[in-house]
Order: sequence, then structure tokens, then C-alpha cells
Amino acid sequence: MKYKSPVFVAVVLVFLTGCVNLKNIQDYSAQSLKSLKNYDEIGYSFSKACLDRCMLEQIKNLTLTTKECDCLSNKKADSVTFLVFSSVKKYFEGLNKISANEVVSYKIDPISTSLKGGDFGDLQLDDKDIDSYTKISGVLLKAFTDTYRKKRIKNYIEDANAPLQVLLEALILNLKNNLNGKLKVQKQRIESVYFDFLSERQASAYEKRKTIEDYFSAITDINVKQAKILTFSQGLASIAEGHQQLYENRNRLTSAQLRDMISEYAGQINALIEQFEQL
Amino acid sequence: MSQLTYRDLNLLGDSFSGMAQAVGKYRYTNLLDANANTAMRQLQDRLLDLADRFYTTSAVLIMERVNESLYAIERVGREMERDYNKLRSVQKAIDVAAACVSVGSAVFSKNPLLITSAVGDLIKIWTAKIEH
Repeated sequence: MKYKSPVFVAVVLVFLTGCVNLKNIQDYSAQSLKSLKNYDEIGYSFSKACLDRCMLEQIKNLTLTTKECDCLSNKKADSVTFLVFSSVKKYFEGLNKISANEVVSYKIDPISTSLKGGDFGDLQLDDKDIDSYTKISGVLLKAFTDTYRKKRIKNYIEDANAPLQVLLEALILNLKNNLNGKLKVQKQRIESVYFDFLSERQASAYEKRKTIEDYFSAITDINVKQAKILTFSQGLASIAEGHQQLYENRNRLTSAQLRDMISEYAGQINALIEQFEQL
Repeated sequence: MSQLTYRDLNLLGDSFSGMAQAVGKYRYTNLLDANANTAMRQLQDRLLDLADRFYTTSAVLIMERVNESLYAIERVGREMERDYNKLRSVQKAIDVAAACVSVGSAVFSKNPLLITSAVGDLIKIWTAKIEH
């Protein structure tokens, strides 16, 4: 039968290369990207911390001076943090793009249409033949490009893992330890200033009550910011762990075991995104 | 200060913040006279300012740690972009092949208008940018 050879070759090729479905990697990178987008929602920065300190100083001194606040080093801290964040985000954007199945979904129909609609003189082409060979071409093309894609993704994961872990660790340290540390300092400053306000004997009961209300409002505001930073950092840690798993299992990217493991990380990240959105 | 790493500075920030907290607690829980309270408050403020500076400097110094990693990730990113474009260019190749078939068919028809139109389409597809 004339169809046996090409169909047989196609089936064998697909069998040998395996049905490459990188959906687990795409899901993980998509969730990671969604989590990373919350960086903008933290709504706090080193520069803002510096301005808040200046404002509190003015409240403490009961002044309305427009003295400029020196926040240059805080701006540098923000630049560094943003640079690291952008780099991580760009990597996951690339990984997400290339692991999506759409990248190797090709429209073969244009050739089929041209062959069916064309007049090639004495050469007669049967529509059924055209359809069959078009389908076979599509299968072979996908098998070939999928194999190439899987190999390349394995290389990216291999090359990127070590530097990515460094960048994620640095980002976590800058946010969870340094920026959060500044928030803790600000909390202590607020406590100190408001303690002195309340200690003033000439303040009325109403004024003291108002002061206490302002104090709790300020502290609550800082608590929310700290919670956002903490949740975001937990997301970063999950992303790091997930990528480490991909790296350690890079030679079996399509295995069911890895798929389950990575799904778990994608799930963890998703839960942290939901937690962040509730803050 | 230049000998200290970003980690050292972060830990110093924690230590000074802790000391400030201890001074504050003492100030709030003990009845101090005005002078003593002022002295303790000034000490607390100084400790908090130093903690703040340590955290900021740590955040800046981390650049030394991440520099090489930033280059490495950028390299991977460029490779991904290149491979993505390569994979998408397959579609362009298919479209060009289909347009070539149309040109072939037009040549067989010996119709000059048809040939001109088919060649025009081929040029259009060839010069079109790869869609992302």
C-alpha cells in the first residue's frame, strides 16, 4: 500500500522522540511570572522608606520645613533590587514563551491549499494524497521541532540554574532582610515618637486618644507592607526550589514524576499569589 | 566598611536594631526624668539610624555578588530569544514554500497577470516580520 512507508516512518519517529509535552514547565514558568508581577504591588521601596523617615522627623519636630531629604543611597538600593528582579523576570518570560506548545504549532494548510488549487500541467495531484502527505509532514515537523525545543530547554535550565539561584537569593535578602529591616526600624521610630507625644503632660485626653489612633494606623500600615514583602519572598523561595528541581531532573523533563513535582511547586506559588492578593 | 560584605552589613543592621529595641523598652518601662529620657531617646535614635544605614548599604553592596550572575542570565535570555525566533521562522518557511508552489502553478498557467500576482505575494511573505 502506497501510504504504508511514510506513515510508518512518521509513527516510528514520533514514538522514538516521544510526545514532547512541556506543559508542566510552561505552567511552572507562567505561575512564576504571575508571582513575580506582584513586585509592583508591594508598594514600598528603599526610597519610600527614606522619605517616610524624613516625614516622621518633621512630625517629631513639629515642623513643616521643605528641607530636602538625602535619599541617594536608598535610590541606589532600589536600582540594584530592580535590576536583579528584571533579570529574573526576563528569564521566566523567555522560558514561558519557548515552553508554550503554541511556538511549535505550525499551519501547514497554506501548502495544501496551494497544491490543491494549482494547475501543474501534466502533473495530476489527488486531493486525498495532498491531505495525507500534508498531515504526515505536520507530524514529522512537530516531532523534529519538539525534540529540538526539549534539548534547548534542557540547556537553558542547565546554564541558568546557578546564576538564577544567586539572583533569587539576593532578591530575597534585599526584600525580606534589608527592606523589611528598614520597616522594623521605622516601626521603632514611630513607637518612640508617639511615646514622647503621649508623655507630654499638657496634652488633653482627646489629643492623647487621637495620638493613639494615629499610632495604630501607622503600625497597621507597616504590618501590611511587611506581610506583602514576606509573602512575595516566600513566592521567590518556591520559584527557586522549583527551578532547582527542574535542574536536577533536566534529563527527564517529560517524566510523570517531574510533572507531579513541578505541579506541586506551581500550586504552592499559586497559593502564595492568592495570599498576597488578600493583603 | 569596604571590607564588610553585604551579609555582614545586614547582620549589623539586625544587631543595631535589636539594641535600639532594648533601649526603647527600657525607656518605655522605666520612669525616667526628663534628662535621662532625652539621653536614652537620643541613643535609641542613633542606633536606629545606624541600623537603617547598614540595611541600605547591604542592599547596594549586593551588586558585587550578583554581577556575574546577571551577565550569565542575560546570555541565556539571548539564546532563548534566538531559538524562539528560529522556531517561529519555520512558519515563515512554510508560508514561503506555499507561495513558491503558487508561483509554480502560475508559471504553468502561462498567465502573466497570475504570475505577477503570485510573485508579489511571495515577496510580501518573504519580507514580512516573524510574528511573535
